[in-house]
Amino acid sequence: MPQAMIERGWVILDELNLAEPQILERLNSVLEDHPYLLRTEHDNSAIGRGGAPVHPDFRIFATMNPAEYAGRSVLSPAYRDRWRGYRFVPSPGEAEYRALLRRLVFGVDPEVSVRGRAYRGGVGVPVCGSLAALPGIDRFLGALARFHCSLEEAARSGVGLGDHRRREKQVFSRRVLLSVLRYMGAVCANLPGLPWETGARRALNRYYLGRATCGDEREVVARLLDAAGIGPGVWELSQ
Amino acid sequence: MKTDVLLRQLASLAAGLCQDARVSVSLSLDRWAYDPARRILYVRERELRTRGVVYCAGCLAHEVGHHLVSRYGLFEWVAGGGVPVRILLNAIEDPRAETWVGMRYPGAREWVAQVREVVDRNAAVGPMPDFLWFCLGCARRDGLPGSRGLEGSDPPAAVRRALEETRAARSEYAVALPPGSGAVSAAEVQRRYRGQVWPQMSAADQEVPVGHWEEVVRLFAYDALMAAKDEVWPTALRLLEGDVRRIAAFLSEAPGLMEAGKRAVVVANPDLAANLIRPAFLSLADGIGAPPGQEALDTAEALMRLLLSLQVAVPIMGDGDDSSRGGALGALPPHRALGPTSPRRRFAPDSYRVALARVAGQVGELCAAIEEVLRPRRRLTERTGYSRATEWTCGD
Repeated sequence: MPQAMIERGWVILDELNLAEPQILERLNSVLEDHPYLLRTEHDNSAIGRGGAPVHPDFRIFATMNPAEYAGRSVLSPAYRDRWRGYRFVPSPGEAEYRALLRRLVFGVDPEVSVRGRAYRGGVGVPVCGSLAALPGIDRFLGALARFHCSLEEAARSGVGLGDHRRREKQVFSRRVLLSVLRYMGAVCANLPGLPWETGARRALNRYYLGRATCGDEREVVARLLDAAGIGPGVWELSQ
Repeated sequence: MKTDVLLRQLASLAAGLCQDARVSVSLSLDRWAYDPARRILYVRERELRTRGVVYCAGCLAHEVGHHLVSRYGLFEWVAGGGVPVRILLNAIEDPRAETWVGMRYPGAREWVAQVREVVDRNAAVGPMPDFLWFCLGCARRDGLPGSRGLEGSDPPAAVRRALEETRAARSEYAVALPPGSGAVSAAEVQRRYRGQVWPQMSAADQEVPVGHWEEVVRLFAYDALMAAKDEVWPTALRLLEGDVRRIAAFLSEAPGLMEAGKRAVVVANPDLAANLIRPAFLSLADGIGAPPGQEALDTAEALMRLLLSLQVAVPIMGDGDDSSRGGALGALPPHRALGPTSPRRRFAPDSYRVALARVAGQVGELCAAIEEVLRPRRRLTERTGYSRATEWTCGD
């Protein structure tokens, strides 16, 4: 931080609200209109307010996830107020998950729109490219995106997923999607005679159904899988 | 399984299927109902216990379908068409909403089919106006693939003909749906939405800005509505006019009947109206004697309007009472249309409810935001424990 303040650096504090509040408060004076830092841990020298000059292009940014994510602390209103420019990114929906999965399998970047202007996505190297040639894989990705989004919403609602006695909520992140695709890729590579749908079912069982902490929760996950057409009771890949 | 566990499962399914629509579930002791303003589905406790989650999930999926694609209420033609138009559209919208749910969630098709089977099995059908018979046939997908329609019932010949005449149009209506994947040309949607859909909407709804997907949904709702307006409504109207003439002829049979009819209209009592004109539909004869006078026609029309107000007054999910489950998926409860009493009658929404319905989404979001702010947070230092190893070990 001192180096960035003096030498025109930009500092990004990633996952800000994972830090203890007392650590965050240490930055209070840096976030003032006229930044100031007294290096009490070092040699008591000051940066700003008569000390070493703060470079005019010094900037500080922070990123964080919502406080309901596990382990995050809630920032005090006063501390939040010190950060002046905000940009909220909404949670991804079905379309975003589908785009993510298509990027992983086909390497196709989605078209994005910034301030009303559309930018066509390019084609990159897919992480799970071995799945691209499977018949019907695109429809499977659509169903998987829909299911994942449904499950995430069900988990977020906090009514039926998670251990209620221990008050632990289930979280289904994008890592799970990646794990499903990687597992499917591994099955296709190692068991070439096996239908890819079997590999997909195993992956869903392993990474979604297997995470259910009790029978009720397992039932909910299974029904949502069925609803999307990729469940233990229903396998029907819609358009 | 305990009711609260079942309810939690159902609530999770609701959250999952509706995604960002935020439909919640609550228990009700006496009946099924859906409150579109607050987006709460009331589930009858006894049915949750006895029929289980899958049956209830079928009802839920049906409502999700309506929530996601039913938009006919936005259009000026529907608002100006009065109660009969709304009843007809409610009836033909059911197959459309269910088709959409089946496209989007293939697994939900089986759940909805289960509900349909129970509804069709339990719904008793009695004498009623041809218009209502027709609407019932529409709601039950009469003549459409994979449906038993009015099988087992005995509708009048005119209704059978009307259902046959409109089969193609109803079929077209049921599949006028946005594509499941959401891939629609943005430019084309915007052009048609501004040029065709938006001018047909009511003034209040024109003022509310909507996103791309909502425009797509409305565009397809508009296409469906045009098919209904041009090809289904004229047939329904013909039946409705026939019903009015029949009631008028019946009222003309005796001066006392006419007086009683006028009284029912003055006091605006639908039950009285239903009791009074019931005998007009008990007769098997289609023919009408001498043409009724204008006074009889006016009274008959007012009585018919009163009678139909019972139909729109019934909550979407109908009652949980086994004997009246004809109304469960938004269909009409026909035997009650002319029944002696309607103990749980609902009235048309007043201006407050209409206003509430308009801002319900925003109110819901505000409430959710307030709850979020007020929810006590655990500090970092209070966290204990790790996820169990068993969470990650499972059989293939």
